[in-house]
Amino acid sequence: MTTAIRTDALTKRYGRRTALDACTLDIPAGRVVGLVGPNGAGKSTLLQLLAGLLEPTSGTATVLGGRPSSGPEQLARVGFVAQDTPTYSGLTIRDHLRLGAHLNARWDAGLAEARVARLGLDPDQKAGRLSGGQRAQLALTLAMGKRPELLLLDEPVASLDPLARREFLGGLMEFVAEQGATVVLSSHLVTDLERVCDHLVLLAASHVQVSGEVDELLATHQRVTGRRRPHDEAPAGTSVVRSGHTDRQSTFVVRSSVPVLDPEWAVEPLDLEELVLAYMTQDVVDAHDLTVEVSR
Amino acid sequence: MTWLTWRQFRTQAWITLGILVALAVALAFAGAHIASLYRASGLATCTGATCSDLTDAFLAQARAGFTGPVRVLAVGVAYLAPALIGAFWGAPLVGRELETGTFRLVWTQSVSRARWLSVKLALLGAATALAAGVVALVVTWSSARVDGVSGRMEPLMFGSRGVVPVADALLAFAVGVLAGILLRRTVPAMAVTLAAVAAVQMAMPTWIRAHLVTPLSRSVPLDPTKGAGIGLQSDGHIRVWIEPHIPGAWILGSTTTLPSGKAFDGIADPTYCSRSQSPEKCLDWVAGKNLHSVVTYQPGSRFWTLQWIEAGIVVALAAVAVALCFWALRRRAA
Repeated sequence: MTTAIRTDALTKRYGRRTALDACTLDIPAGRVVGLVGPNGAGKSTLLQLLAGLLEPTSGTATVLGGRPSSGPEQLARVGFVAQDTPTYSGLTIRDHLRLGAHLNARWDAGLAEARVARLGLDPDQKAGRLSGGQRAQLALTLAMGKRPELLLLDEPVASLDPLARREFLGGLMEFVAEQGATVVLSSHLVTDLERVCDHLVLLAASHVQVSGEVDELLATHQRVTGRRRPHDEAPAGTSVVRSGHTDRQSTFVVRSSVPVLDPEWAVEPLDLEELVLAYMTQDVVDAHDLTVEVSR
Repeated sequence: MTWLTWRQFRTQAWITLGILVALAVALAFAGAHIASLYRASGLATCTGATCSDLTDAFLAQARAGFTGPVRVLAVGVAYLAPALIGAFWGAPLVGRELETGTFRLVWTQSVSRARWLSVKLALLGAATALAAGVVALVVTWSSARVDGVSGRMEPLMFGSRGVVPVADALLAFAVGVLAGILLRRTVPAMAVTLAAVAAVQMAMPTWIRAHLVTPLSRSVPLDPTKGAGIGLQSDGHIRVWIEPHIPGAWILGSTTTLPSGKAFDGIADPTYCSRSQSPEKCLDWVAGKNLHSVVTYQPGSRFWTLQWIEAGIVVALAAVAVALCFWALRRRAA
């Protein structure tokens, strides 16, 4: 299994503010990765570091085996759609496709034109007059036309209505199925991504909180409920992500590689949204503490 | 990249072309009219003292009618062209991409950022040189007859002719691009560019141009009874001056000296020069001093030498600004 993205203690500071702190990731190729986290968690920073638009303050990022934006060859292998999907408002859709053709040696004109036709867009329309959804589709078409091995999308559906969102993700999934590319798409709402992603990276407070295959994450996380007990008396062999207590009951969201069989506990599965929420509101937010917690 | 650069620039290019054509037509008419005035003036064949009167008549004619305002316009355009190019071509070149976020689109295509900037700078830099060159050429050509008579070394004239406007435009363009990269906004970058260009265009004639080549100086006898002005100040000092005139030269200044070369201190002898004495007595006393006026100047023959030196300095500054553009783009944009 080849690695698409590897980061090692990747850190980006803007002056005193730390946007991304010691981010270490290992993402296999061929995945559709959901990068989830609240606003300001560092998602855009991470994606721009991977696209080579930002230079890290410290740490390293390796994308498809190379350093981000280290040269035309590396740039050609990575497609990027920025937040708010910027396009040249004075240029027509046709101009944008010509831009793609002139600036990318591996440009697939057939793919790009077919996509524009299928979306029902008028090639002579100026990008400035497109709706948010159409503009996002245009930006995605440009990124797809260069036939990237890795496609990075920064909050691509945030500004889209539900129908446009569906169309956008549908088009993306078709591309993934045909090209076998790795995709990373970010959102502050996991519900946007849960239908499409098979790998999840959760970023909060500039730290990676959890990263893994969605199936595996769902299989290893449970909500357990039992009688009221102290904070540290969670089921044996588990690590606590989040705890909540009422007068009579204690509820823990735990991570455990083995099933919790103790009859004292009522065990429920989590869905992805609950899992993300548990991590975002977890007891221990700091990643260093979290590592200690997990290894204990 | 060439295609994209042209596609993004073509509207401005057509507008500029329109302005240049209009300017060239206006200046062609004015230039032709002035040439016919020159032929009619008889200046080409005059000799001796008559030339002076003919010159005055010719210059008065050139200043009258439509040629006067057109000539003023020509000088104005030659000074404004660099500023406008810097503000409207330079400042938005990268600044607008940073402002609107399109840099994230274009820098993630399969073209490196340095190459993207190189192509844009090269093509628009060439367009800058071409446009400013056309302006300078038509201004220089249409003014040639008048310049030939009244000189072109005066700071205002000098800066609007020859190669200096082209160099100024290249600097303005580079500064505009740099300001756009550093400020990441188009309008503030335009304002900074205009201010920077104005500063260079003022600093050059005020402090720098006169010293690019060591000025010449010429000592002429001062005759207080002919041509020289003389004045007795209330503190008992005498001021003696002449309006130095050296055809075609840029006069930098003059000092009044004693025959020994020492500066004349202007302290008058009250036995000859005071309110109670007759002016003639004082004039005789001044005449007896054998005063000289030492004029420092740049002769008209140095026009092209000074043009090329100044243009060289300005182009070197532009090169520095371009280097800073690459450095700043690598470092901060992003």
